[in-house]
Amino acid sequence: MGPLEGRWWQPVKVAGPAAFAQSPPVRAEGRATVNDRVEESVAIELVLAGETAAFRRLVRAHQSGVYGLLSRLCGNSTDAEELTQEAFLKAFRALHRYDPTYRFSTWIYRIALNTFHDHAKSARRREVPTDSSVLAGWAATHCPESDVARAQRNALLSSAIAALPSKYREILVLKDVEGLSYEEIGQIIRLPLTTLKIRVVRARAMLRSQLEKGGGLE
Amino acid sequence: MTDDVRSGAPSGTAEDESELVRELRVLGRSAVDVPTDLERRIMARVLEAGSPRRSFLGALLGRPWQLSLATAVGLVLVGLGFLVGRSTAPAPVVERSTVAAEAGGPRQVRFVLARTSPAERETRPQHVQIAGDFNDWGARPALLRDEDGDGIWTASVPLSPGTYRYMFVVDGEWVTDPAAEAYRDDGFGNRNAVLRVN
Repeated sequence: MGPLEGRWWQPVKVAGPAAFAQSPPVRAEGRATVNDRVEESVAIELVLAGETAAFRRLVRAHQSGVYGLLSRLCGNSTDAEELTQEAFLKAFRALHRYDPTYRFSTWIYRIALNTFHDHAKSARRREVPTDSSVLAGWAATHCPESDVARAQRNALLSSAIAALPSKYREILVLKDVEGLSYEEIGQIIRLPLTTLKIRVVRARAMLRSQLEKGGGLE
Repeated sequence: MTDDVRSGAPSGTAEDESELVRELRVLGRSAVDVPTDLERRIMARVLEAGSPRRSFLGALLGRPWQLSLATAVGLVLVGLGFLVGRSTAPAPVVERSTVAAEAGGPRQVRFVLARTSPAERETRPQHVQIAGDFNDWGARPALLRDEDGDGIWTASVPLSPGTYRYMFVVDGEWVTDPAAEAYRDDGFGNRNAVLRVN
């Protein structure tokens, strides 16, 4: 039962059937159920009706995905934490513009990506990747397997991803790391499908090259 | 939709089946430890921001069906107050935030009860307490304070992670937190507020 139990009986308007017509959202390891989507829609309506605390439901449901995405794009937890906060704050402020025909997860990912773009553009925040020692630590502490070899391998991959130019890093993280479909990525990045596919192929080739240079390709 | 790709099933192309892609999927499935207090910090900023930033006009014209009854009543009261030229200043816009936990150890949870409407401010209570599972429903009183008299009553209570039911007690009257994150029937016709401390 969700944290907002007891509020479902309130006579609030929920998003129409279109909001539930699409397939479950984006995280391969954490697919949302129809109930999740109903709870999400109700939470959005509660927030728009003035119940700001209901936004917590959306934060709980999506903070892991947003933080994970930004961690992999930024390459460090400090920036990822800050940008995650900013992304949710932007989402909160723009919630009245949210179109329920799209998944909320897709929408918040797009906001997170734009937040990352702003961050990358800002002065002193060039697209120079975080050094591999930081990423190694990141992988070692974030990898669920206690297996050190796996943690090291993840660190190597993360380091190589972080060395990619921004647009290739983004598409690779969204497609191969986060496991989004091209349709979902198109909603986030808003590029034609063909462009996305070409960019994925190039990103993989660049990543492979990075790993070979670093002696990391098995 | 390419759910075959998302689910990790082989798509039939050598590229998608490559070792590199498989490893990236493994990386993607590895858990990312979300900072324990990230939710609190996000919500603190959200609560500080107040309401979603739609303009008043936008609220009326953009999605008018979302104008809640409470909002409508509030607008009428504000309008009447303006027309009759009440001398009292408008109540400050205060978010009825409920909790804010600090990281580490037992969380310092800040309870907030905002009594800022004109009617509420006219009947300023003498005592506001919080009673819940964590203090045997008032056996160990936790008083809220409003030192500057702005109608915002607050108290910080150290709580371990868990789920708690609670109520405010305003001059002996039980009051459900209007901004709680969840509610549960108390079996006596009222609702307890529910707080989850992570």
